[in-house]
Amino acid sequence: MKTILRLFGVAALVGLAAVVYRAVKQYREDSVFDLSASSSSSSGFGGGKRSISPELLAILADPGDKGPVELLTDSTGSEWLVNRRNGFRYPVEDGIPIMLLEEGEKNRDASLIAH
Amino acid sequence: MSDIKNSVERQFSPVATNYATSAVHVSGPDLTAMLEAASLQGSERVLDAGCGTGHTALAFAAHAAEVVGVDLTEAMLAQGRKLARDRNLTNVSFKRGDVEHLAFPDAAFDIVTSRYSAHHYPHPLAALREFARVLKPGGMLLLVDVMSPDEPAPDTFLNAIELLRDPSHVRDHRVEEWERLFATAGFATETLGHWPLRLEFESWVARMNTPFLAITQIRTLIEGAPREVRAALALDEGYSFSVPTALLRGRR
Repeated sequence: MKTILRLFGVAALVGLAAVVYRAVKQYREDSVFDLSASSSSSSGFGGGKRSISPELLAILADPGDKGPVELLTDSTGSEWLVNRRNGFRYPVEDGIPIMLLEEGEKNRDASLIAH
Repeated sequence: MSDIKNSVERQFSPVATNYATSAVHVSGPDLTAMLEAASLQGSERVLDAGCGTGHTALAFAAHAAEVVGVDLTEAMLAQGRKLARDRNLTNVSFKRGDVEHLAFPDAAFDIVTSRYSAHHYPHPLAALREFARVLKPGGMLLLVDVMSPDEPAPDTFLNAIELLRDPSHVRDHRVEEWERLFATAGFATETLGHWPLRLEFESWVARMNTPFLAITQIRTLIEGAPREVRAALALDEGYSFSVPTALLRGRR
């Protein structure tokens, strides 16, 4: 019985070690990813901090009415692609614009509608 | 977001890295044929719809002016950006979006590609109409996907095991179904090639993180598959099988 309990203990320790190892490994991989991201944007292309390129912005349209969107930065420094016709705001996360109708509607700011 | 689209995102977020390295997705005769069919001059703007981790977008970026990849799953796009950086490709960008509601004006692209993603579209005709809208007159759509066999039994069988493996699977359509949808969306259509794609069972389910219970159900279905199904899908004793794939070109 004691041997079985001891075996269980060893198995639990090994399991825990595996979980910790994987977490550390994942964290390191993620950090490497972050580093390479910032170093590539500081090395010139992209124009400043992770932002969407003017070429991409020029061809983006609202997924609903297909009209133009405008890039705005709010007071917290977050970037949004704004539809001035209905106030829909599409978030830009890590340079990737989230052009989903649901997101635009969820973040709608009616004060941004141009009259 | 509709429930199927939520399901796609839930399904692919945890397995994005598997797709970044998947041999089936990184290359293949279908990707070579797509590039040949496109005969890029270097001036084209290309949209890769349902780009996943961006293998098709990156292959086209080497020969086109600009490529934009669109996908529902953020984690897949992050892998695409990483691969683009690894290969020093600066003319490709990724954007989260829905192929049935594209965030581009009319006639913005010369070429639209869709490779191994169309079986996830809840409303394929809506997606094809969006592709037609964002293409310039004379532009082309290049679509590669798993095609269901023409006979109903293997068709049902293939879609059943696909759904068990991936709950966000919608349907592998038959070639003639795609041809009809292309025509309805206003494309002049030709099927440019067919390839059998061998799917090795273990890596096929591992790539998608299919739960053990669902793997058991798939194995049970395969063990009981009738002769016609075994022949159509070239099922072997190790549960591996071949699916038909095809490249369709639609001209606007």
